Amino acid sequence: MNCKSVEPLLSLYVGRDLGEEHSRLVAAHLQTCTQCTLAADEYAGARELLKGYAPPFFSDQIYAGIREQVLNEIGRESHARVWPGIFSQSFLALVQPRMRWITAALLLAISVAALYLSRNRSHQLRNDHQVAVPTRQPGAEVRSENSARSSSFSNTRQDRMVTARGPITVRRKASAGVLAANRSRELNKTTKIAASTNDRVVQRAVGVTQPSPASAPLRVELQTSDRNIRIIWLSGQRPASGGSDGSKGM
Amino acid sequence: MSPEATIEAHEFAVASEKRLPEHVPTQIPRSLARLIERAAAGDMVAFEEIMKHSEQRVMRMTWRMLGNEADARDAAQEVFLRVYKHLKRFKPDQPFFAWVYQITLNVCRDIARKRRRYDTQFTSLENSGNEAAAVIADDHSDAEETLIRVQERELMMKAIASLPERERAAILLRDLEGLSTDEVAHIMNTTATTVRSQISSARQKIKVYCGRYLKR
Repeated sequence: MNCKSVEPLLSLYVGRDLGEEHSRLVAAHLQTCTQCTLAADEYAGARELLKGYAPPFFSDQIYAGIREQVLNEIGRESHARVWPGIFSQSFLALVQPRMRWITAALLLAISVAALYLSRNRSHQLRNDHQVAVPTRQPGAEVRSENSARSSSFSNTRQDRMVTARGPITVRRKASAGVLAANRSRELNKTTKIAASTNDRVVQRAVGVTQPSPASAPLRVELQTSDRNIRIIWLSGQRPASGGSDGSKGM
Repeated sequence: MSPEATIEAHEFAVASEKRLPEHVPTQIPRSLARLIERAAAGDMVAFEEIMKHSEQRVMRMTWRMLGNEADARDAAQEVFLRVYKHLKRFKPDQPFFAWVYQITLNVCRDIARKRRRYDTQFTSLENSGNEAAAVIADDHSDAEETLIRVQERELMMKAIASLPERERAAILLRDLEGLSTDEVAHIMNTTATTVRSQISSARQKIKVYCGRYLKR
Protein backbone atom coordinates (compact mmCIF):
# COMPACT_ATOMS: atom_id res chain seq x y z
CA MET A 1 0.00 0.00 0.00
CA ASN A 2 1.23 3.51 -0.74
CA CYS A 3 0.60 6.74 1.21
CA LYS A 4 -2.28 7.79 -1.05
CA SER A 5 -4.29 4.69 -0.25
CA VAL A 6 -3.31 4.60 3.44
CA GLU A 7 -4.14 8.21 4.27
CA PRO A 8 -7.94 7.87 4.10
CA LEU A 9 -7.76 4.75 6.26
CA LEU A 10 -5.71 6.28 9.05
CA SER A 11 -8.63 7.81 10.91
CA LEU A 12 -10.34 4.43 10.95
CA TYR A 13 -7.13 2.62 11.81
CA VAL A 14 -6.56 4.63 15.00
CA GLY A 15 -10.13 3.94 16.07
CA ARG A 16 -9.80 0.23 15.24
CA ASP A 17 -12.64 0.45 12.78
CA LEU A 18 -10.86 -1.39 10.00
CA GLY A 19 -11.05 -5.05 9.22
CA GLU A 20 -8.14 -7.34 10.08
CA GLU A 21 -6.75 -7.40 6.57
CA HIS A 22 -6.76 -3.63 6.13
CA SER A 23 -5.37 -3.06 9.63
CA ARG A 24 -2.45 -5.37 8.90
CA LEU A 25 -1.68 -3.57 5.64
CA VAL A 26 -1.84 -0.12 7.22
CA ALA A 27 0.35 -1.22 10.14
CA ALA A 28 2.93 -2.55 7.72
CA HIS A 29 2.93 0.73 5.82
CA LEU A 30 3.31 2.79 9.01
CA GLN A 31 6.46 0.91 9.92
CA THR A 32 8.11 2.19 6.76
CA CYS A 33 6.52 5.67 6.29
CA THR A 34 7.39 8.49 8.73
CA GLN A 35 4.87 10.96 7.28
CA CYS A 36 1.94 8.59 7.65
CA THR A 37 3.12 7.68 11.15
CA LEU A 38 3.02 11.37 12.11
CA ALA A 39 -0.46 11.69 10.67
CA ALA A 40 -1.56 8.60 12.64
CA ASP A 41 -0.13 10.12 15.82
CA GLU A 42 -2.10 13.30 15.19
CA TYR A 43 -5.26 11.26 14.86
CA ALA A 44 -4.44 9.43 18.07
CA GLY A 45 -3.78 12.74 19.86
CA ALA A 46 -7.07 14.20 18.68
CA ARG A 47 -8.83 11.05 19.80
CA GLU A 48 -7.31 11.35 23.24
CA LEU A 49 -8.44 14.95 23.44
CA LEU A 50 -11.89 13.87 22.41
CA LYS A 51 -12.00 11.35 25.23
CA GLY A 52 -11.37 14.22 27.63
CA TYR A 53 -14.60 15.79 26.45
CA ALA A 54 -16.50 14.68 29.51
CA PRO A 55 -19.62 16.33 30.79
CA PRO A 56 -19.50 18.13 34.13
CA PHE A 57 -20.57 16.34 37.25
CA PHE A 58 -24.32 16.29 37.65
CA SER A 59 -25.43 15.97 41.23
CA ASP A 60 -28.04 13.54 42.48
CA GLN A 61 -30.34 16.48 43.03
CA ILE A 62 -30.32 17.23 39.33
CA TYR A 63 -31.21 13.65 38.50
CA ALA A 64 -33.88 13.56 41.22
CA GLY A 65 -35.34 16.78 39.85
CA ILE A 66 -35.49 15.33 36.36
CA ARG A 67 -37.17 12.16 37.61
CA GLU A 68 -39.68 14.13 39.63
CA GLN A 69 -40.59 16.37 36.73
CA VAL A 70 -40.96 13.41 34.41
CA LEU A 71 -43.22 11.57 36.85
CA ASN A 72 -45.30 14.70 37.42
CA GLU A 73 -45.66 15.25 33.72
CA ILE A 74 -46.71 11.65 33.18
CA GLY A 75 -49.25 11.95 35.97
CA ARG A 76 -50.64 15.15 34.47
CA GLU A 77 -50.86 13.69 31.00
CA SER A 78 -52.53 10.50 32.11
CA HIS A 79 -55.07 12.53 34.07
CA ALA A 80 -55.75 14.77 31.10
CA ARG A 81 -56.11 11.75 28.84
CA VAL A 82 -58.96 10.14 30.81
CA TRP A 83 -61.92 11.90 29.18
CA PRO A 84 -60.64 11.96 25.62
CA GLY A 85 -59.80 8.31 26.15
CA ILE A 86 -63.38 7.51 27.11
CA PHE A 87 -64.72 9.36 24.06
CA SER A 88 -62.26 7.76 21.70
CA GLN A 89 -62.98 4.31 23.13
CA SER A 90 -66.71 4.86 22.70
CA PHE A 91 -66.17 6.01 19.16
CA LEU A 92 -63.96 3.04 18.38
CA ALA A 93 -66.53 0.71 19.89
CA LEU A 94 -69.22 2.20 17.66
CA VAL A 95 -67.25 1.78 14.44
CA GLN A 96 -66.33 -1.83 15.14
CA PRO A 97 -67.68 -4.30 12.55
CA ARG A 98 -70.07 -5.91 15.00
CA MET A 99 -71.56 -2.56 15.96
CA ARG A 100 -71.88 -1.07 12.49
CA TRP A 101 -75.51 -2.05 11.95
CA ILE A 102 -76.50 -0.78 15.34
CA THR A 103 -74.62 2.46 14.73
CA ALA A 104 -76.26 2.88 11.32
CA ALA A 105 -79.73 2.22 12.77
CA LEU A 106 -79.04 4.65 15.59
CA LEU A 107 -77.93 7.36 13.19
CA LEU A 108 -81.00 6.75 11.00
CA ALA A 109 -83.32 7.02 13.97
CA ILE A 110 -81.65 10.24 15.09
CA SER A 111 -81.95 11.68 11.57
CA VAL A 112 -85.67 10.79 11.31
CA ALA A 113 -86.34 12.25 14.73
CA ALA A 114 -84.48 15.43 13.82
CA LEU A 115 -86.42 15.73 10.56
CA TYR A 116 -89.73 15.16 12.29
CA LEU A 117 -88.96 17.71 14.97
CA SER A 118 -87.79 20.32 12.48
CA ARG A 119 -90.93 19.90 10.38
CA ASN A 120 -93.15 20.05 13.40
CA ARG A 121 -91.35 23.11 14.61
CA SER A 122 -91.67 24.94 11.30
CA HIS A 123 -95.39 24.09 11.17
CA GLN A 124 -95.86 25.42 14.66
CA LEU A 125 -93.91 28.55 13.82
CA ARG A 126 -96.17 29.14 10.84
CA ASN A 127 -99.26 28.81 13.04
CA ASP A 128 -97.76 31.07 15.64
CA HIS A 129 -97.04 33.64 12.97
CA GLN A 130 -100.62 33.57 11.78
CA VAL A 131 -101.94 34.07 15.26
CA ALA A 132 -99.23 36.40 16.40
CA VAL A 133 -100.18 39.12 13.94
CA PRO A 134 -103.29 40.25 15.77
CA THR A 135 -101.54 40.11 19.09
CA ARG A 136 -99.41 43.03 18.00
CA GLN A 137 -102.41 45.14 18.88
CA PRO A 138 -103.57 43.49 22.03
CA GLY A 139 -107.20 44.09 22.59
CA ALA A 140 -107.83 45.07 18.97
CA GLU A 141 -109.78 41.91 18.32
CA VAL A 142 -110.86 41.21 21.79
CA ARG A 143 -112.97 43.88 23.05
CA SER A 144 -115.81 44.21 25.43
CA GLU A 145 -119.19 44.20 23.84
CA ASN A 146 -119.98 47.67 25.03
CA SER A 147 -116.97 49.26 23.49
CA ALA A 148 -117.33 47.13 20.36
CA ARG A 149 -120.89 48.12 19.87
CA SER A 150 -119.95 51.77 19.58
CA SER A 151 -117.01 51.27 17.28
CA SER A 152 -117.43 47.97 15.44
CA PHE A 153 -118.25 49.60 12.09
CA SER A 154 -116.24 52.73 12.44
CA ASN A 155 -113.34 53.35 10.11
CA THR A 156 -110.70 53.93 12.76
CA ARG A 157 -107.18 52.80 12.06
CA GLN A 158 -107.40 50.11 14.67
CA ASP A 159 -110.48 48.62 13.05
CA ARG A 160 -108.87 48.60 9.68
CA MET A 161 -105.94 46.71 11.02
CA VAL A 162 -108.16 44.20 12.65
CA THR A 163 -110.29 43.62 9.60
CA ALA A 164 -107.49 43.75 7.08
CA ARG A 165 -104.83 41.70 8.91
CA GLY A 166 -106.54 39.46 11.40
CA PRO A 167 -108.75 37.41 9.13
CA ILE A 168 -106.20 36.67 6.41
CA THR A 169 -106.43 32.95 7.03
CA VAL A 170 -110.14 33.12 7.38
CA ARG A 171 -110.43 34.97 4.12
CA ARG A 172 -108.49 32.29 2.27
CA LYS A 173 -110.55 29.53 3.71
CA ALA A 174 -113.73 31.42 3.18
CA SER A 175 -112.96 32.10 -0.47
CA ALA A 176 -112.88 28.35 -1.08
CA GLY A 177 -116.34 28.19 0.38
CA VAL A 178 -117.63 31.03 -1.77
CA LEU A 179 -116.73 29.18 -4.90
CA ALA A 180 -118.58 26.10 -3.75
CA ALA A 181 -122.25 27.02 -3.39
CA ASN A 182 -124.92 29.65 -3.47
CA ARG A 183 -124.97 32.71 -1.33
CA SER A 184 -126.86 31.29 1.63
CA ARG A 185 -124.79 28.12 1.75
CA GLU A 186 -121.72 30.20 1.25
CA LEU A 187 -122.67 32.36 4.13
CA ASN A 188 -123.28 29.38 6.40
CA LYS A 189 -120.09 27.70 5.43
CA THR A 190 -118.04 30.83 5.74
CA THR A 191 -119.54 31.48 9.06
CA LYS A 192 -118.78 27.98 10.28
CA ILE A 193 -115.19 28.14 9.11
CA ALA A 194 -114.77 31.58 10.46
CA ALA A 195 -116.29 30.57 13.72
CA SER A 196 -114.04 27.57 14.09
CA THR A 197 -111.01 29.64 13.19
CA ASN A 198 -112.07 32.38 15.49
CA ASP A 199 -112.38 29.93 18.32
CA ARG A 200 -108.73 29.39 18.00
CA VAL A 201 -107.98 33.04 17.52
CA VAL A 202 -110.03 34.09 20.45
CA GLN A 203 -108.68 31.34 22.65
CA ARG A 204 -105.18 32.39 21.87
CA ALA A 205 -106.02 36.02 22.11
CA VAL A 206 -107.59 35.47 25.48
CA GLY A 207 -104.52 33.62 26.51
CA VAL A 208 -102.40 36.55 25.49
CA THR A 209 -104.42 39.41 26.86
CA GLN A 210 -105.73 37.69 29.99
CA PRO A 211 -108.92 39.71 30.12
CA SER A 212 -110.39 40.27 33.51
CA PRO A 213 -113.82 38.82 34.29
CA ALA A 214 -115.21 42.31 34.02
CA SER A 215 -114.30 42.55 30.34
CA ALA A 216 -116.27 39.37 29.31
CA PRO A 217 -118.31 38.75 27.16
CA LEU A 218 -116.06 39.05 24.13
CA ARG A 219 -116.75 40.21 20.62
CA VAL A 220 -114.64 39.33 17.65
CA GLU A 221 -115.13 40.75 14.19
CA LEU A 222 -113.74 39.14 11.07
CA GLN A 223 -113.92 40.34 7.50
CA THR A 224 -114.49 37.69 4.82
CA SER A 225 -113.41 37.96 1.20
CA ASP A 226 -116.73 39.51 0.42
CA ARG A 227 -116.63 43.08 1.63
CA ASN A 228 -120.29 42.97 2.44
CA ILE A 229 -119.90 40.09 4.83
CA ARG A 230 -118.43 40.59 8.20
CA ILE A 231 -118.49 37.90 10.80
CA ILE A 232 -119.10 38.94 14.32
CA TRP A 233 -118.62 36.41 17.00
CA LEU A 234 -119.85 36.97 20.47
CA SER A 235 -119.07 34.88 23.47
CA GLY A 236 -120.22 34.80 27.04
CA GLN A 237 -123.41 36.38 28.35
CA ARG A 238 -125.06 39.23 26.60
CA PRO A 239 -127.33 41.90 27.97
CA ALA A 240 -131.00 41.21 27.37
CA SER A 241 -131.29 44.01 24.80
CA GLY A 242 -128.58 42.48 22.58
CA GLY A 243 -128.75 39.46 20.26
CA SER A 244 -128.01 35.87 21.12
CA ASP A 245 -124.68 34.22 21.70
CA GLY A 246 -122.77 32.73 18.79
CA SER A 247 -121.89 33.88 15.30
CA LYS A 248 -123.68 36.43 13.39
CA GLY A 249 -123.56 37.34 9.70
CA MET A 250 -123.68 40.69 7.88
CA MET B 1 -40.95 0.95 46.94
CA SER B 2 -42.19 -2.63 47.09
CA PRO B 3 -39.73 -5.39 48.05
CA GLU B 4 -40.16 -6.97 44.64
CA ALA B 5 -39.23 -3.73 42.93
CA THR B 6 -36.23 -3.32 45.21
CA ILE B 7 -34.94 -6.80 44.41
CA GLU B 8 -35.41 -6.27 40.70
CA ALA B 9 -33.73 -2.90 40.88
CA HIS B 10 -30.80 -4.44 42.73
CA GLU B 11 -30.49 -7.27 40.20
CA PHE B 12 -30.66 -4.78 37.43
CA ALA B 13 -28.08 -2.54 39.05
CA VAL B 14 -25.70 -5.47 39.45
CA ALA B 15 -26.26 -6.50 35.85
CA SER B 16 -25.77 -2.92 34.72
CA GLU B 17 -22.59 -2.53 36.77
CA LYS B 18 -21.12 -5.54 35.05
CA ARG B 19 -21.97 -4.45 31.60
CA LEU B 20 -22.50 -0.74 31.77
CA PRO B 21 -19.28 1.19 32.02
CA GLU B 22 -19.24 2.35 28.43
CA HIS B 23 -20.89 -0.44 26.48
CA VAL B 24 -24.48 -0.96 25.64
CA PRO B 25 -25.69 -4.43 26.54
CA THR B 26 -27.05 -6.07 23.45
CA GLN B 27 -29.29 -8.38 25.43
CA ILE B 28 -31.60 -7.11 28.08
CA PRO B 29 -31.08 -8.57 31.56
CA ARG B 30 -34.10 -10.44 32.79
CA SER B 31 -34.55 -8.00 35.65
CA LEU B 32 -34.64 -5.09 33.22
CA ALA B 33 -37.09 -6.93 31.01
CA ARG B 34 -39.36 -7.39 34.01
CA LEU B 35 -39.04 -3.72 34.93
CA ILE B 36 -39.90 -2.69 31.38
CA GLU B 37 -42.89 -4.97 31.36
CA ARG B 38 -44.16 -3.56 34.61
CA ALA B 39 -43.48 0.02 33.59
CA ALA B 40 -45.33 -0.53 30.32
CA ALA B 41 -48.29 -1.73 32.38
CA GLY B 42 -48.24 1.60 34.24
CA ASP B 43 -46.06 0.78 37.26
CA MET B 44 -44.40 4.09 38.02
CA VAL B 45 -42.01 2.59 40.57
CA ALA B 46 -40.62 0.30 37.89
CA PHE B 47 -40.33 3.20 35.49
CA GLU B 48 -38.48 5.25 38.08
CA GLU B 49 -36.00 2.40 38.43
CA ILE B 50 -35.48 2.36 34.69
CA MET B 51 -34.88 6.09 34.77
CA LYS B 52 -32.37 5.76 37.59
CA HIS B 53 -30.33 3.27 35.63
CA SER B 54 -30.32 5.09 32.34
CA GLU B 55 -30.28 8.74 33.40
CA GLN B 56 -26.50 9.05 33.45
CA ARG B 57 -26.17 7.79 29.91
CA VAL B 58 -28.97 10.05 28.75
CA MET B 59 -27.62 13.15 30.50
CA ARG B 60 -24.11 12.51 29.24
CA MET B 61 -25.29 12.11 25.68
CA THR B 62 -27.66 15.08 25.74
CA TRP B 63 -24.98 17.31 27.24
CA ARG B 64 -22.45 16.23 24.63
CA MET B 65 -24.94 16.75 21.84
CA LEU B 66 -26.34 20.06 23.03
CA GLY B 67 -23.39 21.54 24.90
CA ASN B 68 -25.05 23.04 27.95
CA GLU B 69 -26.66 21.82 31.10
CA ALA B 70 -30.03 23.52 30.78
CA ASP B 71 -30.72 22.06 27.35
CA ALA B 72 -29.34 18.72 28.45
CA ARG B 73 -31.79 18.59 31.36
CA ASP B 74 -34.73 19.55 29.16
CA ALA B 75 -33.70 16.94 26.64
CA ALA B 76 -33.32 14.26 29.31
CA GLN B 77 -36.82 14.96 30.59
CA GLU B 78 -38.22 14.74 27.11
CA VAL B 79 -36.32 11.52 26.48
CA PHE B 80 -37.85 9.84 29.51
CA LEU B 81 -41.29 11.09 28.64
CA ARG B 82 -40.94 9.58 25.18
CA VAL B 83 -39.53 6.39 26.61
CA TYR B 84 -42.57 6.05 28.85
CA LYS B 85 -44.94 6.94 26.07
CA HIS B 86 -43.52 4.37 23.66
CA LEU B 87 -42.60 1.70 26.16
CA LYS B 88 -45.48 -0.49 25.04
CA ARG B 89 -44.05 -0.51 21.53
CA PHE B 90 -40.62 -1.59 22.71
CA LYS B 91 -39.76 -5.11 21.59
CA PRO B 92 -37.97 -7.15 24.24
CA ASP B 93 -35.64 -8.71 21.67
CA GLN B 94 -34.01 -5.39 20.82
CA PRO B 95 -31.31 -3.74 22.97
CA PHE B 96 -32.99 -1.35 25.37
CA PHE B 97 -30.21 1.21 25.67
CA ALA B 98 -29.76 1.40 21.92
CA TRP B 99 -33.45 2.22 21.76
CA VAL B 100 -32.98 4.88 24.45
CA TYR B 101 -30.06 6.33 22.48
CA GLN B 102 -32.25 6.50 19.39
CA ILE B 103 -34.82 8.50 21.30
CA THR B 104 -32.09 10.67 22.79
CA LEU B 105 -30.71 11.56 19.38
CA ASN B 106 -34.17 12.38 18.08
CA VAL B 107 -34.90 14.59 21.06
CA CYS B 108 -31.56 16.40 20.77
CA ARG B 109 -32.18 17.01 17.10
CA ASP B 110 -35.66 18.36 17.80
CA ILE B 111 -34.46 20.63 20.56
CA ALA B 112 -31.53 21.90 18.51
CA ARG B 113 -33.82 22.65 15.57
CA LYS B 114 -36.34 24.31 17.78
CA ARG B 115 -33.87 26.58 19.47
CA ARG B 116 -31.74 27.23 16.42
CA ARG B 117 -28.69 27.46 18.57
CA TYR B 118 -26.84 24.47 17.32
CA ASP B 119 -23.60 26.15 16.45
CA THR B 120 -23.62 28.96 18.92
CA GLN B 121 -25.18 27.24 21.87
CA PHE B 122 -22.03 26.09 23.57
CA THR B 123 -22.47 28.72 26.19
CA SER B 124 -20.92 26.57 28.86
CA LEU B 125 -17.56 27.66 27.49
CA GLU B 126 -17.85 30.81 29.54
CA ASN B 127 -19.02 28.81 32.50
CA SER B 128 -16.13 26.43 32.15
CA GLY B 129 -13.77 29.40 32.17
CA ASN B 130 -15.30 30.63 35.40
CA GLU B 131 -15.21 27.11 36.74
CA ALA B 132 -11.51 26.89 35.91
CA ALA B 133 -10.83 30.24 37.60
CA ALA B 134 -12.58 28.98 40.72
CA VAL B 135 -10.56 25.77 40.71
CA ILE B 136 -7.35 27.70 40.21
CA ALA B 137 -8.17 29.99 43.10
CA ASP B 138 -8.85 27.02 45.34
CA ASP B 139 -5.87 24.90 44.46
CA HIS B 140 -2.76 26.65 43.20
CA SER B 141 -0.73 23.47 42.82
CA ASP B 142 -2.98 22.08 40.08
CA ALA B 143 -3.79 25.44 38.56
CA GLU B 144 -1.81 24.99 35.38
CA GLU B 145 -3.02 21.49 34.79
CA THR B 146 -6.64 22.52 35.40
CA LEU B 147 -6.30 25.41 33.01
CA ILE B 148 -4.94 23.10 30.32
CA ARG B 149 -7.79 20.66 30.87
CA VAL B 150 -10.33 23.42 30.63
CA GLN B 151 -8.78 24.74 27.44
CA GLU B 152 -8.75 21.29 25.92
CA ARG B 153 -12.35 20.81 26.78
CA GLU B 154 -13.24 24.16 25.24
CA LEU B 155 -11.33 23.20 22.15
CA MET B 156 -13.12 19.92 21.86
CA MET B 157 -16.49 21.53 22.40
CA LYS B 158 -15.83 23.90 19.56
CA ALA B 159 -14.56 21.08 17.37
CA ILE B 160 -17.66 18.97 18.05
CA ALA B 161 -19.92 21.96 17.57
CA SER B 162 -18.45 22.45 14.13
CA LEU B 163 -19.47 18.94 13.03
CA PRO B 164 -22.65 18.19 11.12
CA GLU B 165 -25.34 16.63 13.28
CA ARG B 166 -25.03 13.05 12.05
CA GLU B 167 -21.25 13.04 12.18
CA ARG B 168 -21.39 14.41 15.67
CA ALA B 169 -23.81 11.71 16.78
CA ALA B 170 -21.72 9.00 15.14
CA ILE B 171 -18.43 10.04 16.71
CA LEU B 172 -19.94 10.59 20.14
CA LEU B 173 -21.57 7.18 20.15
CA ARG B 174 -18.53 5.43 18.76
CA ASP B 175 -15.63 7.15 20.51
CA LEU B 176 -17.19 8.44 23.70
CA GLU B 177 -20.02 6.05 24.45
CA GLY B 178 -17.91 3.14 23.23
CA LEU B 179 -20.48 1.49 20.99
CA SER B 180 -19.49 -0.68 18.07
CA THR B 181 -19.94 0.52 14.51
CA ASP B 182 -22.83 -1.88 14.04
CA GLU B 183 -24.57 -0.63 17.15
CA VAL B 184 -24.13 2.96 16.03
CA ALA B 185 -25.52 2.02 12.65
CA HIS B 186 -28.52 0.42 14.32
CA ILE B 187 -29.14 3.46 16.49
CA MET B 188 -28.77 5.87 13.60
CA ASN B 189 -30.85 3.67 11.36
CA THR B 190 -28.18 3.43 8.69
CA THR B 191 -25.45 1.04 7.48
CA ALA B 192 -22.11 0.32 9.12
CA THR B 193 -20.34 1.60 6.01
CA THR B 194 -22.08 4.95 6.26
CA VAL B 195 -21.22 5.16 9.94
CA ARG B 196 -17.55 4.43 9.20
CA SER B 197 -17.57 7.15 6.59
CA GLN B 198 -19.14 9.61 9.02
CA ILE B 199 -16.70 8.68 11.76
CA SER B 200 -13.74 9.00 9.44
CA SER B 201 -14.89 12.42 8.27
CA ALA B 202 -15.50 13.58 11.83
CA ARG B 203 -12.08 12.43 13.03
CA GLN B 204 -10.39 14.20 10.16
CA LYS B 205 -12.19 17.44 10.98
CA ILE B 206 -11.37 17.16 14.66
CA LYS B 207 -7.75 16.46 13.86
CA VAL B 208 -7.59 19.52 11.62
CA TYR B 209 -9.25 21.63 14.31
CA CYS B 210 -6.94 20.41 17.05
CA GLY B 211 -3.93 20.69 14.75
CA ARG B 212 -4.67 24.37 14.17
CA TYR B 213 -4.90 24.90 17.95
CA LEU B 214 -1.80 22.90 18.79
CA LYS B 215 0.29 24.73 16.18
CA ARG B 216 -0.66 28.13 17.60
